Amino acid sequence: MARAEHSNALLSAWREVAQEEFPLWLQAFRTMAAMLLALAIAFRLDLSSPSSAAVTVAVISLPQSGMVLEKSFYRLLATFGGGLVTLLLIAVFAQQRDLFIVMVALWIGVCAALSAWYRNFQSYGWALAGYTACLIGFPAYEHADNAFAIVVDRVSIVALGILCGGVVNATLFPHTSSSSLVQSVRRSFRDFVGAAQSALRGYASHRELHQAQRRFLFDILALESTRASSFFEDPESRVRTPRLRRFISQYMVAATTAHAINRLREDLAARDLQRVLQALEPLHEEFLRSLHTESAQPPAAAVEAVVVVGQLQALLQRWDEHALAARERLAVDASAAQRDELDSALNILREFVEEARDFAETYAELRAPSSALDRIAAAAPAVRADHLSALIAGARAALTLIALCVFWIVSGWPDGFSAALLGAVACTLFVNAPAPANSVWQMVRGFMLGFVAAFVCFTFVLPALDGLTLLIAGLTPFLMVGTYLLARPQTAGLGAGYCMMFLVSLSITANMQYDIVALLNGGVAQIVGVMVAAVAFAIVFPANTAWHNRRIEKTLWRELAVARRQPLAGLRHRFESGVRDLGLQYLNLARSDDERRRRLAVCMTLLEAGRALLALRACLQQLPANALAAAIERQLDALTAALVTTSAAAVPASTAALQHLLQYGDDPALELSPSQRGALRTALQMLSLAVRERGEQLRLAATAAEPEVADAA
Amino acid sequence: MPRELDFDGILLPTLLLMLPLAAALYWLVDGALARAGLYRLVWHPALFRVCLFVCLFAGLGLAIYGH
Repeated sequence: MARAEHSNALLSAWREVAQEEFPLWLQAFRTMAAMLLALAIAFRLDLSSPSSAAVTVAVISLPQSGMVLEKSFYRLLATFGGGLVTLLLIAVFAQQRDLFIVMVALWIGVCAALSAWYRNFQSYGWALAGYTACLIGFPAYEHADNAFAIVVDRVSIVALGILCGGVVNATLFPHTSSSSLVQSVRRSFRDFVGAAQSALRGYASHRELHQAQRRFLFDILALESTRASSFFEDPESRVRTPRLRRFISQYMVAATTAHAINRLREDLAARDLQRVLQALEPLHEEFLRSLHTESAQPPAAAVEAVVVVGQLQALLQRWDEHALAARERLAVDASAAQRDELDSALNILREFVEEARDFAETYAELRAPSSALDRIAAAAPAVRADHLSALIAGARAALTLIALCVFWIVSGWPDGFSAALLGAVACTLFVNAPAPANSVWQMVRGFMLGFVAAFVCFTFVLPALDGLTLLIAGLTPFLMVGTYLLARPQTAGLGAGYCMMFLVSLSITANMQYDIVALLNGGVAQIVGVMVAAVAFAIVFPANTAWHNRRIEKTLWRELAVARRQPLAGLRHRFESGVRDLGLQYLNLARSDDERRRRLAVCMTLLEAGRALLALRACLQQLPANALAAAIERQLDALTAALVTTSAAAVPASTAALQHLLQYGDDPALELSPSQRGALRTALQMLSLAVRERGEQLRLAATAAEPEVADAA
Repeated sequence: MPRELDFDGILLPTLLLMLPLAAALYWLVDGALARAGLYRLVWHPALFRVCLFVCLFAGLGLAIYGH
């Protein structure tokens, strides 16, 4: 009996391991099959360096086939673009070596800066376009009369690698992005229903709240990148693009409102206004019932969302009755202030129900391949970068290349080219990494491992091989190590370095030259180049200093000034997505869990403040232009300016501006209908919640920072 | 159809021009099939799509080399 239990436990453990490892090995085999295919075809077509085709396959090796295709697309585009620029530079500066190097450095700098402005594979594309000029440019410069052929050869090699990698990854037992997109979309809606439930009934624990906040901020961005990958892989996702974008945008908006409602509920409870909450409770429950299907489950698929849309629509149609009933539930002895609180809560709840209905509607529309919603254009999520950080990243890349080139020329180092190239590669590739120095060191470790493997393979294995079949047999074990490392997310950087170094060092060609000295020199030069980049990352404007963190926080809050200024059309979407994009950068720089939680709270407060500010602006638009309206606008400007400074010293200013705004909001001279007045009051109340929260955060940060200052003194 | 095109003194294989043409054609056909929901009836959509592209490109190639 005990033995049977024992073997059962073993069996289940084995299953667990297999479940985790199987996809990794599958990916490793896919990558290797694609590499070998690329090598074989490159030999057949007599291309100059078959290894480079295999390197391309390694670089685009990613878990989902959509990601592979997306990265391939940008890699091809960047290689074309970089190749064109290289030809142009050679045509203009063929006679002037120094000027040529400076221009290449300039191009790399521009590309590195642009790379910081973009996200995911687009960012990678810019980095690649930058160092392609170095990769092709320097060899082509030495044989300027043959430059065109060299560029064409390079582009063909990359195209071949991409073709092999793309076809193998998409067809050989693929793990598709579209299937994970479907899962993510379904999970998003379930998460939203869960968040609405917690926001209205209260979160069970702080942990649950943090998880919900994380989802509100970042799972939405992950959804967008899965969508982008799926676009390249799955035609069904492609035709749904406008709807998916709408879905993501509405998710952001509704998630922020859910957070605001949670804050309002907490505030009401803290101010001992339980009776207002009690009056609202039946309506809350009615709303939550409408969000679930008949079986009291959140809709599991788009088809089931149709029911939810109908229920929410019905709830909205009878909203006035529900609101009246809630008001009646508030006891007769309730004060006018309490009635106002209830009206505000009802207003914001109505907005939330409307947003939930729109969100569910878009979800339901995703079920069919085509829909009328596709005719409405939907904007892509906005991307924000700190301009100065981006410019510094560009300058760092350009300076590193120039420094390495100067050393190369002055010392007459024959392998200086490899060092300069790898320095530029590392400087541009890790521009957006939260801890670039770590990524670079992982690459260095991969290079060293690959170097050892290349040395062993080169001295003991390769000379004994004759013909393509044997070559493939001999390379397979070495490549397998690399592709497995690549497949594991924790060691992907290590694997990329390994594969790159291994394949480049071997530089397998049809007539192999067994020059072990060249292999050693080249390998050392590449490692030196990457190490110089690591040093550059550590010295030239290191990421994650206190100064950098403050800067990102300021950039984050400056979004509020943008929300104050820009025209209202489409602004909510731009604000929500922009804050999330910057917020992710801000959060990734956090060192401890406590710090991460603090930053998460800061981001949520900003979203809350922005939401209230935009609602307030919408109300103010309806005011006639008079002295009172101008005074309100002025106070709003003062409030925004105080919040944007992100310093505790500005807290009194923001509180004062807020007090003025609240007074103006109650001013009977305001020419507004009762419903407009209600909306204005709601927006002001939400804004004051956010401002108070922000003041609290700033005071806490200031008291936490003081002891450090004392220590330093 | 000529197998090579004289492009201002540079001889380009006609097949090279057929590639973007096939890609454009494929993009249209692929979108139409997706809208019609055909890919839900296919066992291996990715393989199907690769084959579709190969057929289109080979068909255009046959126009050059077929006779």
